[in-house]
Amino acid sequence: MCLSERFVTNIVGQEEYNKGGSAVIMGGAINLTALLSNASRECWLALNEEQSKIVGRGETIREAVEEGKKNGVDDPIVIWSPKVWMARVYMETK
Amino acid sequence: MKKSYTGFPIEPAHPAFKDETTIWMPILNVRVGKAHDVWSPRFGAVVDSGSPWCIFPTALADYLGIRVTAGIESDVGGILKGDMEPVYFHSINIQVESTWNITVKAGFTKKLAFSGILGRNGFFDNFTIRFDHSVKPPQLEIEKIQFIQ
Repeated sequence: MCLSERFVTNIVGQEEYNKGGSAVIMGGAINLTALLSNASRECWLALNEEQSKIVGRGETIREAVEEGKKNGVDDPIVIWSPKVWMARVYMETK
Repeated sequence: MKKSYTGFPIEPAHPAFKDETTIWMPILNVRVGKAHDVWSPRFGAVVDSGSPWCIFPTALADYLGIRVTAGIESDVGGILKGDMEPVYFHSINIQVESTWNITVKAGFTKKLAFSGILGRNGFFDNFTIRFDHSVKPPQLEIEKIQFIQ
Protein backbone atom coordinates (compact mmCIF):
# COMPACT_ATOMS: atom_id res chain seq x y z
CA MET A 1 0.00 0.00 0.00
CA CYS A 2 1.13 3.48 0.71
CA LEU A 3 4.55 2.87 2.14
CA SER A 4 5.43 -0.43 0.56
CA GLU A 5 4.01 -0.45 -2.92
CA ARG A 6 6.49 1.83 -4.54
CA PHE A 7 9.35 2.99 -2.39
CA VAL A 8 10.18 1.53 0.96
CA THR A 9 12.33 4.16 2.49
CA ASN A 10 13.19 6.23 5.40
CA ILE A 11 10.58 8.92 5.57
CA VAL A 12 12.85 11.88 5.94
CA GLY A 13 15.03 11.85 2.85
CA GLN A 14 13.51 14.16 0.31
CA GLU A 15 15.01 12.20 -2.55
CA GLU A 16 13.09 9.13 -1.51
CA TYR A 17 9.80 10.83 -2.31
CA ASN A 18 10.76 12.15 -5.67
CA LYS A 19 12.50 9.45 -7.63
CA GLY A 20 10.37 10.16 -10.64
CA GLY A 21 11.39 13.77 -10.87
CA SER A 22 9.67 16.93 -9.91
CA ALA A 23 6.73 18.85 -11.24
CA VAL A 24 7.21 20.78 -14.45
CA ILE A 25 6.07 24.38 -14.52
CA MET A 26 4.87 25.43 -17.98
CA GLY A 27 4.15 29.13 -18.23
CA GLY A 28 2.43 29.15 -14.88
CA ALA A 29 0.82 25.76 -15.33
CA ILE A 30 1.87 22.95 -13.03
CA ASN A 31 2.35 19.55 -14.60
CA LEU A 32 2.39 16.85 -11.94
CA THR A 33 2.67 13.95 -14.39
CA ALA A 34 6.29 13.01 -13.70
CA LEU A 35 6.02 13.61 -9.98
CA LEU A 36 2.85 11.59 -9.43
CA SER A 37 3.55 8.80 -11.91
CA ASN A 38 6.25 7.45 -9.66
CA ALA A 39 4.77 8.35 -6.30
CA SER A 40 3.28 5.95 -3.78
CA ARG A 41 -0.30 4.91 -4.49
CA GLU A 42 -3.48 4.58 -2.49
CA CYS A 43 -2.32 7.08 0.04
CA TRP A 44 -2.30 10.79 0.74
CA LEU A 45 0.67 12.79 -0.41
CA ALA A 46 1.83 16.13 0.91
CA LEU A 47 3.39 18.53 -1.59
CA ASN A 48 5.40 21.67 -1.03
CA GLU A 49 4.03 25.11 -1.85
CA GLU A 50 5.27 25.02 -5.44
CA GLN A 51 3.91 21.46 -5.84
CA SER A 52 7.32 20.51 -7.12
CA LYS A 53 8.19 17.94 -4.44
CA ILE A 54 6.48 15.33 -2.33
CA VAL A 55 7.33 16.06 1.27
CA GLY A 56 5.11 13.57 3.05
CA ARG A 57 2.74 10.67 2.66
CA GLY A 58 0.43 8.66 4.81
CA GLU A 59 -2.59 6.43 5.06
CA THR A 60 -4.43 9.46 6.42
CA ILE A 61 -4.34 13.15 5.61
CA ARG A 62 -3.03 13.86 9.09
CA GLU A 63 -0.10 11.46 8.64
CA ALA A 64 0.85 13.05 5.33
CA VAL A 65 0.62 16.55 6.79
CA GLU A 66 2.67 15.63 9.84
CA GLU A 67 5.37 14.13 7.66
CA GLY A 68 5.35 17.23 5.52
CA LYS A 69 5.84 19.35 8.62
CA LYS A 70 8.75 17.16 9.69
CA ASN A 71 10.27 17.84 6.30
CA GLY A 72 9.97 21.57 6.79
CA VAL A 73 6.68 22.35 5.03
CA ASP A 74 4.21 23.73 7.55
CA ASP A 75 1.23 24.08 5.23
CA PRO A 76 1.52 21.38 2.58
CA ILE A 77 -0.95 20.80 -0.22
CA VAL A 78 -2.35 17.31 0.07
CA ILE A 79 -3.51 15.07 -2.72
CA TRP A 80 -5.01 11.61 -2.87
CA SER A 81 -2.85 9.31 -4.96
CA PRO A 82 -5.16 6.67 -6.42
CA LYS A 83 -4.22 3.17 -7.50
CA VAL A 84 -4.46 4.27 -11.11
CA TRP A 85 -4.61 7.81 -12.47
CA MET A 86 -7.73 7.85 -14.62
CA ALA A 87 -9.53 10.36 -16.78
CA ARG A 88 -12.47 10.39 -14.41
CA VAL A 89 -13.12 11.55 -10.90
CA TYR A 90 -15.28 8.74 -9.56
CA MET A 91 -14.19 5.20 -8.89
CA GLU A 92 -16.33 2.34 -10.04
CA THR A 93 -18.02 0.30 -7.39
CA LYS A 94 -18.28 -3.48 -7.74
CA MET B 1 -8.65 35.17 -11.27
CA LYS B 2 -7.20 33.24 -14.17
CA LYS B 3 -5.45 29.95 -13.58
CA SER B 4 -3.89 27.34 -15.83
CA TYR B 5 -5.06 23.78 -15.62
CA THR B 6 -2.93 21.27 -13.72
CA GLY B 7 -1.42 18.26 -15.45
CA PHE B 8 -1.93 14.76 -14.07
CA PRO B 9 -0.79 11.36 -15.26
CA ILE B 10 -3.19 9.23 -17.24
CA GLU B 11 -2.67 5.50 -16.98
CA PRO B 12 -2.86 3.93 -19.41
CA ALA B 13 -3.03 6.49 -22.15
CA HIS B 14 -6.39 6.69 -23.87
CA PRO B 15 -6.38 4.30 -26.86
CA ALA B 16 -7.46 7.11 -29.16
CA PHE B 17 -4.83 9.52 -27.82
CA LYS B 18 -1.89 7.26 -27.11
CA ASP B 19 0.67 10.05 -27.25
CA GLU B 20 -1.01 11.93 -24.43
CA THR B 21 0.36 10.88 -21.07
CA THR B 22 -0.92 13.97 -19.30
CA ILE B 23 -4.49 15.00 -18.71
CA TRP B 24 -5.01 18.68 -17.95
CA MET B 25 -7.62 19.30 -15.28
CA PRO B 26 -9.24 22.52 -14.04
CA ILE B 27 -8.04 22.53 -10.45
CA LEU B 28 -8.52 25.02 -7.67
CA ASN B 29 -6.78 24.79 -4.34
CA VAL B 30 -9.29 24.74 -1.56
CA ARG B 31 -9.70 24.04 2.12
CA VAL B 32 -12.84 22.68 3.69
CA GLY B 33 -13.93 23.43 7.20
CA LYS B 34 -16.77 22.67 9.55
CA ALA B 35 -16.25 25.85 11.52
CA HIS B 36 -14.28 28.97 10.89
CA ASP B 37 -11.41 27.82 13.05
CA VAL B 38 -11.20 24.22 11.84
CA TRP B 39 -9.90 23.84 8.32
CA SER B 40 -8.41 21.03 6.31
CA PRO B 41 -5.06 21.38 4.61
CA ARG B 42 -5.17 22.79 1.10
CA PHE B 43 -5.89 20.32 -1.64
CA GLY B 44 -6.67 20.46 -5.33
CA ALA B 45 -10.32 20.03 -6.28
CA VAL B 46 -11.64 19.55 -9.80
CA VAL B 47 -14.01 22.17 -11.15
CA ASP B 48 -16.63 19.86 -12.63
CA SER B 49 -19.84 21.24 -14.10
CA GLY B 50 -20.88 17.64 -14.77
CA SER B 51 -21.25 16.97 -11.08
CA PRO B 52 -24.51 18.04 -9.46
CA TRP B 53 -22.82 18.55 -6.10
CA CYS B 54 -19.56 19.28 -4.39
CA ILE B 55 -18.17 15.95 -3.26
CA PHE B 56 -15.19 15.12 -1.13
CA PRO B 57 -13.63 11.95 0.21
CA THR B 58 -14.64 10.78 3.66
CA ALA B 59 -10.99 11.11 4.68
CA LEU B 60 -11.49 14.88 4.73
CA ALA B 61 -14.50 14.53 7.01
CA ASP B 62 -12.45 12.30 9.26
CA TYR B 63 -9.73 14.95 9.38
CA LEU B 64 -12.28 17.59 10.41
CA GLY B 65 -13.93 15.36 12.98
CA ILE B 66 -17.21 15.21 11.09
CA ARG B 67 -19.22 12.07 11.80
CA VAL B 68 -19.95 11.24 8.18
CA THR B 69 -22.89 8.90 8.63
CA ALA B 70 -24.73 11.54 10.67
CA GLY B 71 -25.27 13.50 7.48
CA ILE B 72 -28.13 13.33 5.02
CA GLU B 73 -27.73 10.07 3.15
CA SER B 74 -28.06 9.80 -0.60
CA ASP B 75 -26.20 7.96 -3.32
CA VAL B 76 -24.36 8.76 -6.50
CA GLY B 77 -26.10 6.17 -8.64
CA GLY B 78 -26.05 7.24 -12.24
CA ILE B 79 -22.67 8.79 -11.77
CA LEU B 80 -20.88 5.78 -10.44
CA LYS B 81 -20.93 2.55 -12.37
CA GLY B 82 -21.99 -0.50 -10.46
CA ASP B 83 -23.50 -0.63 -7.02
CA MET B 84 -24.94 2.39 -5.32
CA GLU B 85 -22.45 4.10 -3.08
CA PRO B 86 -23.72 6.15 -0.17
CA VAL B 87 -22.96 9.84 -0.01
CA TYR B 88 -23.55 11.77 3.19
CA PHE B 89 -24.26 15.47 2.91
CA HIS B 90 -23.10 18.01 5.45
CA SER B 91 -23.06 21.77 5.54
CA ILE B 92 -19.44 22.84 5.31
CA ASN B 93 -17.34 25.85 4.47
CA ILE B 94 -15.05 25.93 1.47
CA GLN B 95 -12.20 28.37 1.16
CA VAL B 96 -11.33 28.76 -2.52
CA GLU B 97 -7.79 29.71 -3.50
CA SER B 98 -7.33 31.40 -0.11
CA THR B 99 -9.57 34.18 -1.44
CA TRP B 100 -13.25 33.32 -1.18
CA ASN B 101 -15.28 31.53 1.49
CA ILE B 102 -18.56 29.85 0.69
CA THR B 103 -20.89 27.61 2.66
CA VAL B 104 -22.27 24.63 0.79
CA LYS B 105 -24.00 21.34 1.38
CA ALA B 106 -21.37 18.89 0.18
CA GLY B 107 -21.33 15.14 -0.04
CA PHE B 108 -18.74 12.84 1.42
CA THR B 109 -18.12 9.42 -0.08
CA LYS B 110 -15.43 6.78 -0.11
CA LYS B 111 -15.61 6.31 -3.84
CA LEU B 112 -13.68 9.20 -5.22
CA ALA B 113 -10.68 8.86 -7.46
CA PHE B 114 -9.76 12.45 -6.78
CA SER B 115 -9.26 14.69 -3.77
CA GLY B 116 -12.42 16.70 -4.34
CA ILE B 117 -15.05 17.84 -6.81
CA LEU B 118 -16.52 21.33 -7.05
CA GLY B 119 -19.94 20.80 -8.61
CA ARG B 120 -22.96 22.81 -9.61
CA ASN B 121 -24.92 23.03 -6.38
CA GLY B 122 -23.04 25.30 -4.03
CA PHE B 123 -20.06 26.07 -6.20
CA PHE B 124 -21.21 27.00 -9.70
CA ASP B 125 -24.04 29.06 -8.27
CA ASN B 126 -21.49 31.18 -6.43
CA PHE B 127 -19.01 31.75 -9.24
CA THR B 128 -18.92 32.50 -12.93
CA ILE B 129 -16.37 30.27 -14.56
CA ARG B 130 -14.94 30.39 -18.04
CA PHE B 131 -12.97 27.51 -19.49
CA ASP B 132 -10.50 28.40 -22.23
CA HIS B 133 -9.17 25.45 -24.18
CA SER B 134 -7.85 27.58 -27.02
CA VAL B 135 -4.54 27.85 -25.18
CA LYS B 136 -2.21 25.05 -24.13
CA PRO B 137 -2.39 24.23 -21.29
CA PRO B 138 -6.01 25.30 -20.94
CA GLN B 139 -7.03 27.95 -18.43
CA LEU B 140 -10.01 28.71 -16.28
CA GLU B 141 -11.17 32.11 -15.21
CA ILE B 142 -13.18 32.38 -12.04
CA GLU B 143 -15.07 35.29 -10.56
CA LYS B 144 -17.19 35.37 -7.43
CA ILE B 145 -20.79 36.39 -7.99
CA GLN B 146 -21.73 39.39 -5.85
CA PHE B 147 -25.28 38.87 -4.67
CA ILE B 148 -27.29 41.95 -3.87
CA GLN B 149 -28.95 41.62 -0.49
